[in-house]
Amino acid sequence: MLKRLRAYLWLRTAQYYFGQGKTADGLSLLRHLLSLVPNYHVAYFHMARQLGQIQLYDEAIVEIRKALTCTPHNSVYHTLLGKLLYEKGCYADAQEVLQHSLHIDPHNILTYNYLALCHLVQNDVVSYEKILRDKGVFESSEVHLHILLALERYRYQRREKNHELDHAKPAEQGV
Amino acid sequence: MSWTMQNLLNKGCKQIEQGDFSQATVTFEKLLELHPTNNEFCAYLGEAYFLNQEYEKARATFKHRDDLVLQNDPLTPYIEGYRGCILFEEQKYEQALPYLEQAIAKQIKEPEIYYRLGILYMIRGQLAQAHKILQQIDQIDPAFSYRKIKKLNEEIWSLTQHKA
Repeated sequence: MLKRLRAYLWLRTAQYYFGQGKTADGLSLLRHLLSLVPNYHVAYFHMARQLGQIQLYDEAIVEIRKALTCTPHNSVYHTLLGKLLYEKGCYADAQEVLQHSLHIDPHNILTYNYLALCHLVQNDVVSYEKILRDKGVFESSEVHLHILLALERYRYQRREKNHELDHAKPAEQGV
Repeated sequence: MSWTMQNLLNKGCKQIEQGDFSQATVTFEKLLELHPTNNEFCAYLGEAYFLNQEYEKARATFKHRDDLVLQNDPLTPYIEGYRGCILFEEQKYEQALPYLEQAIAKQIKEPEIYYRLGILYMIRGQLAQAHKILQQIDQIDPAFSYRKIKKLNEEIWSLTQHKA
């Protein structure tokens, strides 16, 4: 009981460090906490979130998988795993995990948004549109940023493709 | 205005009034040397060069004054930023980059300029930098990204409808 209470206080302290921008200190405290209470899945979750924010996606994925080993039916953890896989560029894997998360909790708009993004970056605009029209956009600047980047990337790739086609046409005509 | 500055300024103006243009150029050169960013002194020196028939020096001094005025004008970084935005829209990305970077280095508050720079970094594969720049937009205009998403969605969705 006391061990749990102490773990909780350390978790809160780590969160305070993260809030102050002292990521290394917070992560170090969480690692220490988990060495004493290895099944404290919330700590793995926070560690994964922070590692993801500093773009250490592989390490973050390892941590969130540990959280899921402790509690396999937590849709929030599945969503974070899907988000991390998306950020890492593993879109098909992300899609699968996010769909599983929605199977557990079919009301999470954040999960729907990342699923829509997986469709968009794989050029499936119809599915992207359907999800976003049905579910709307989650109120989070992080999600907005991801959506904007994906939309602009799609636009850029489309423009480049059209540009290539325009250049290819005269050559074909010449043949 | 300091006593030395006022004294030199009066002296130079008097020399011009008396038709001693050559000495006036020396006085205004000294004044500008002491205050190199003062565009008013630059104008006096240019005038003195002109009256002394040193046209090339006068032209260069007036050009220098233009640069000073532009540097000190608070709107200049915005104009430079918009020049970068125009080049971005024309897909001249490498040419756009210095304009956008310089504008943002001068702490402007225009989300459209931040947005173009963020997207430009993304196109160049500098994703961490893209995130860093785009995250700053929220502090300037919290509704900007929402409006942009709406606009881009409409644009892309109209393409899918067109296809169907």
